[in-house]
Amino acid sequence: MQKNKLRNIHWFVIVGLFLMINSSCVEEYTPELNLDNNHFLVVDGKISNFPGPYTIKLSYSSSILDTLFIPVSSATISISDDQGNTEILKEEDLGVYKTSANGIQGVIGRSYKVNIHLDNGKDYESEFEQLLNPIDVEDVYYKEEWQYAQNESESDQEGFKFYVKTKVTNTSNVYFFWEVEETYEYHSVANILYFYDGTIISEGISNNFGLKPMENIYSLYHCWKTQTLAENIIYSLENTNIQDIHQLPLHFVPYGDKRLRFGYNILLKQYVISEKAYYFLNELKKQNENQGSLFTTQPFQIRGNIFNSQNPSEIVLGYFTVASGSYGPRIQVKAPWRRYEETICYTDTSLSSIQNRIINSKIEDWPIYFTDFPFENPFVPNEFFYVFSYVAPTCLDCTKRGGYTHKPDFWQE
Amino acid sequence: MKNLILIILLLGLWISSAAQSSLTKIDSIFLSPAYSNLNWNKFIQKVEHNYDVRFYYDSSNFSNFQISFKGDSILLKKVLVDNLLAFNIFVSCDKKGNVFLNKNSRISTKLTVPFFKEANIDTAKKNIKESNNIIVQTPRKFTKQTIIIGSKEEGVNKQTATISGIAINSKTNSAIEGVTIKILNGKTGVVTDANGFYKITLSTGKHILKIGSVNIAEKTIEINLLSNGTLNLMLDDKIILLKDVVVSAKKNNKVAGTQMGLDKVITKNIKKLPLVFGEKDIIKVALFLPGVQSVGEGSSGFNVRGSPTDQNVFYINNVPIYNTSHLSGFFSAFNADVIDEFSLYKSNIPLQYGGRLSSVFEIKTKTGNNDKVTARGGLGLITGRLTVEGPLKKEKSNFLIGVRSTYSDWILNFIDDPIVKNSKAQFGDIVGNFSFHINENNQLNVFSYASTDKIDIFTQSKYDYQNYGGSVVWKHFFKNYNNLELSLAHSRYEFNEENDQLEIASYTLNNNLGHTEIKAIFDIKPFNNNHLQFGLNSTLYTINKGVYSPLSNDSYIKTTDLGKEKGIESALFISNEWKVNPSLTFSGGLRYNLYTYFGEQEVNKYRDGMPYTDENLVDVIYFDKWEAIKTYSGLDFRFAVNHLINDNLSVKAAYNRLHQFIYMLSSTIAVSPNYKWKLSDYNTKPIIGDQITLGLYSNLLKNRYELSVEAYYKFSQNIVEIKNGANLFFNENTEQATLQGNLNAFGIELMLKKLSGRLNGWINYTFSNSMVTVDSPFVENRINYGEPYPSNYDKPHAFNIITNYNFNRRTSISGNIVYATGRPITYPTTIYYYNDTPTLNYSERNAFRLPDYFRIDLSVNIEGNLLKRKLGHGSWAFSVYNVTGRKNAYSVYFKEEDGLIQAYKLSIFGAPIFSITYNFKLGNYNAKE
Repeated sequence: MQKNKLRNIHWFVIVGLFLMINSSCVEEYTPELNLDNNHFLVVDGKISNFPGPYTIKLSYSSSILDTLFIPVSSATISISDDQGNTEILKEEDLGVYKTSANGIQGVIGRSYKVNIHLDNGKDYESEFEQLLNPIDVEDVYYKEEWQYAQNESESDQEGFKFYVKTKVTNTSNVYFFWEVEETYEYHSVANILYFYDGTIISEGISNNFGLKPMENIYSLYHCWKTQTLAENIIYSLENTNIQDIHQLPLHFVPYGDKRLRFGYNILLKQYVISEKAYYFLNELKKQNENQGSLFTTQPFQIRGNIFNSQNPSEIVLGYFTVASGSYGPRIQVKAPWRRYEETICYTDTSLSSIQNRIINSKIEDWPIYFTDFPFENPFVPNEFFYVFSYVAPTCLDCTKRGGYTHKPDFWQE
Repeated sequence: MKNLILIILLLGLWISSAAQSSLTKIDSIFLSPAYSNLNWNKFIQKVEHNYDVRFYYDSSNFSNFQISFKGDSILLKKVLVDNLLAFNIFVSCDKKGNVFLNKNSRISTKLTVPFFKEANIDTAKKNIKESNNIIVQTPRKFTKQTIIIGSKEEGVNKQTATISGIAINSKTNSAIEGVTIKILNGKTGVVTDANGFYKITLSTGKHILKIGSVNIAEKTIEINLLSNGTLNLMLDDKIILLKDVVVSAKKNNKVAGTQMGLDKVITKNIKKLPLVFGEKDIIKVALFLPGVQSVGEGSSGFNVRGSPTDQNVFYINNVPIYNTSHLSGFFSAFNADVIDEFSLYKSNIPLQYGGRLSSVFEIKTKTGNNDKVTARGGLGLITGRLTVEGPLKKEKSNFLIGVRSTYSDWILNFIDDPIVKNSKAQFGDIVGNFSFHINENNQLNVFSYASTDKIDIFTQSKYDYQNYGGSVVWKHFFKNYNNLELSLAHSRYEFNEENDQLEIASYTLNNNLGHTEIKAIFDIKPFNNNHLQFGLNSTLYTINKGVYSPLSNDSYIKTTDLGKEKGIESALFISNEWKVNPSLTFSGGLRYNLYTYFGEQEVNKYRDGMPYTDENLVDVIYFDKWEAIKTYSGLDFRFAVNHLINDNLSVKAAYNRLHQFIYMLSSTIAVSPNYKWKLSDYNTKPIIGDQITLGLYSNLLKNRYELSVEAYYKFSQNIVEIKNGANLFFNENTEQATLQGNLNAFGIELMLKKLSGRLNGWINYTFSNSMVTVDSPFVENRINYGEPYPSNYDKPHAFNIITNYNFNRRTSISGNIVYATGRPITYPTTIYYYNDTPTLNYSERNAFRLPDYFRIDLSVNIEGNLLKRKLGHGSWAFSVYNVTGRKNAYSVYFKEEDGLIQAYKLSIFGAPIFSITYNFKLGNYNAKE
């Protein structure tokens, strides 16, 4: 939705240029804010018909100047349904509360709410919301498209645009919320030849200090990373007259993106949520995308569905969502070409400094990896010299960049 | 020459031009060598032009010879005598700057008393009885004469007598409004009305009348009032070549008269103001007036005295215009070339207008030239304009047609930015005005207006909007100048949007508004110090709330017709101005408004006193076509008093109440193109506004300065505010998206004007406050927890300086300084994590302010040569807008980027903007226009 937020800046640019000037400008700015140090309670949680455990995060809002997640610990949180079933969540991490894996399960047709008791004595609860009928995803597909550049620093890009297709049988309004879980493969810059874990091979070769050779020099070379797109993709059937959604755009990934180099797989989770939950997400989206323009609407405090039971006017932020979900078919793509990826790696080829590094290392640093690192011949492109080096871990060990070496079961070669 | 003098003497018609009687007469005029070696005609022309002197001579006596003299600074009289003696021509001068050149004998500039008297008596006998119509023909007359009004027989035993008449422009034969006729040494005076008519009662006997106005040469007439009579004033345009006053509200009007909160500006006076893109723009000029605030650069409309933009109405020749901007506010929709003047009423709005609480912006276009076809125009970087005017039938009817348009959007192609490159923007407007002088008692004016705008933002959305309007005004004069003005006007505003940002949600949306108004005003000429006006008007509003439909086959949008609505607003009004005594005037009146909202419609009925939500909906009532759904009525008051403390100082007070039955729905802070109008209906009550104003007006230093202070308090009930996050556009039940609240505003406006001299202009400062309260017993019907919050247009301090300095008659420099407190804004104060994303949480509404606004503009105007008679005249205007390049904030917004919150300031004109415009006139315009 990058597009959307830029539209309005363009409005000025167009008018401005039209007047032979490009005077409109956006610059960083630090307004004077007499900040209230109010910490409002924030509830972020969801229950669905997917198997648990379900998570509720409890935190306090922070001042605008320091973007902090201030966890709220030792609260008593319970999720209950309208049939009298209740489960108290366990705090697994600071401010992160979870149901047990074999505990409460979202059942279609039942209504759910959350109750929160803080150790300062305050009680909060949400309104009951019903777990609606899920709607099956008919298809997830992509088209290879050009995306127009949105500003001067960009250029037009070709890439994959993903779409969802869904049959809607309900006649009443349906509010959708999609989560895209993406998995992509990525590689280290070089394989690993040697490592140091406190011991060395006594009969070691002089030029590598007798470091142990790796058994599998590709063991930390291939990684897969899975993450959920941060974007809220929502759509409502209000004011539409359709029986099926046949082409709802999810997101766009240009060919040059690193995620497409070796393979990119997405799993779509399609949720049906309540009207209120939809408006909550829609307002968040509007306020983040639509500021600073001719079309700016008056921003305001967006209230969710959680209230203080004793004092309903207390400000509580966030939402406890009741969502019925269904999965879309997985699809996997790969870019038709790879852009030469320039990764800057810290390397150290000085033998004396490598020696010092080994001698001064501590247990928590181990294992330290070394390799014969390829350096390009500056006079002959694509000709490489391989030099024994210490290389920054993020360039050798792919797990240091957030992924796992285990190839997912769904992965297609 | 002799004959001419004699004829004038015998008619007894002249008065002196004593108004120009400064001390600089012929004995103080010294000529520079630039006057030497000119031929006689050129010399005379140049001297007359540059000095306040008039030459009278018989041209047959003057062959074309050269004037020559030596020296840097030679007395004019000496130059004349030296050069003319050889031809046996004698030079005589009077104190008024008249120079008489006579062959063989000297003219005496002092007349003998008997001669004078006899002439008078003759005239009186000849003329007064039959017509009582003395035409005072004044140009280039050089002696003083007393005009006798009435006859001794009729005036026997009478202490007072009434003079009435009209002021007529000697060139165009049109009536002149706003001419002041002041009685010297007395406190009385009158101003001619829109028909040029005036009436004044004085004691019998001799009086000296001082006649003046911005546009005409000031003069003094001595009269001897014997009995009731008529004195028509044939007045001349001020003969000033290319010398403009910057902006002047009509002189002397502020102190006299009961009108408050009125700013009147004549278009020709604004041409030197530096304005963005060099475009003369009356709305931008209005923003320099006290109490008028811009919504923001690049947005249309303005806020008057802390009130929303929808409380203003714009009329151009009786046609209301609902969208007054091009390119959504960067230009105004009015081509200044065709506009004669505009008046902005901020309080005590004339009773003939109702329906808007804050202001009436009344624009009057020029009427065509009765004499010959002429043209004028201008070429700027962005727009071109052309105005043609001339007679249809000589002296009977005329036309004026003005066109303005953008050239094209070629410039966008030069830009690398892909979206800009492929975008388009166009606008244009056309005005046609036709005047018919049917006969002495009947005048007809036909006017039409159209404007269009098209903006296409590549891959995103297209907007286009149009205004169409027309009016027919018939003016009938009864005997004694009572008159009836009957007008019929129609205006239509259309808006279309095509949005194809997201293919599946691509839509078109169009809505329109029609305004048809009929108005009759009777104007009863002053009698017994009263001036009565009454009439009625009736307006039919038709609003098509819009049809929202899919743009393409791939769009999922369902066609939704939001429906139509109709309402009729009628009013009967009566107003009177009563001059109790020369220093005390009351004016006031009543306007009874009757508004009915008509079917065909389905109307939602909600549980009594409960919030308008679906849950509280109890019934949907169907009303048939033209069935009255709801009727509201209300009485408007106007009351004003003016106490003239002395000739140059007055105190005024006014109270007024108005009703408004139409409002704007806009969910954006600025007025973006996508707003729409809505009528008061079954669920939404009319808006009621009260205003109290107090003012002090003073003319200082012989009218060279004008100082005024006005204070006001305003209270509006039922103003419409949009609920947080409400969707207005696809909403069939807008009452569910809006709330009604109160607006409190007060302020004080100080204005100092310098009206004449090389340096002229004004300074004003306004202190104001504007707060909105939307409270209710129901939490969901409160905004800001029911607490008062500053309105979006609350700008406590505002300061403007407008100046113009004339270096010489061809070159002038103008500058503006604008300062205003930044508008209120809602900022985020806290941040929280939702869905693992930092999310902003906003403060109470409008709890913060943007940085203050400050701007300096400069412009230089250079006129072409100053020859009086030539085919065309050209001038160049160079201007710089925002000289300091200050990045004034249009808005400040916050975005989450890579987990951090960053604030950004958006400025629209964040750099100096240079522009150049060439203006031309064809057909030997009077250069002052």
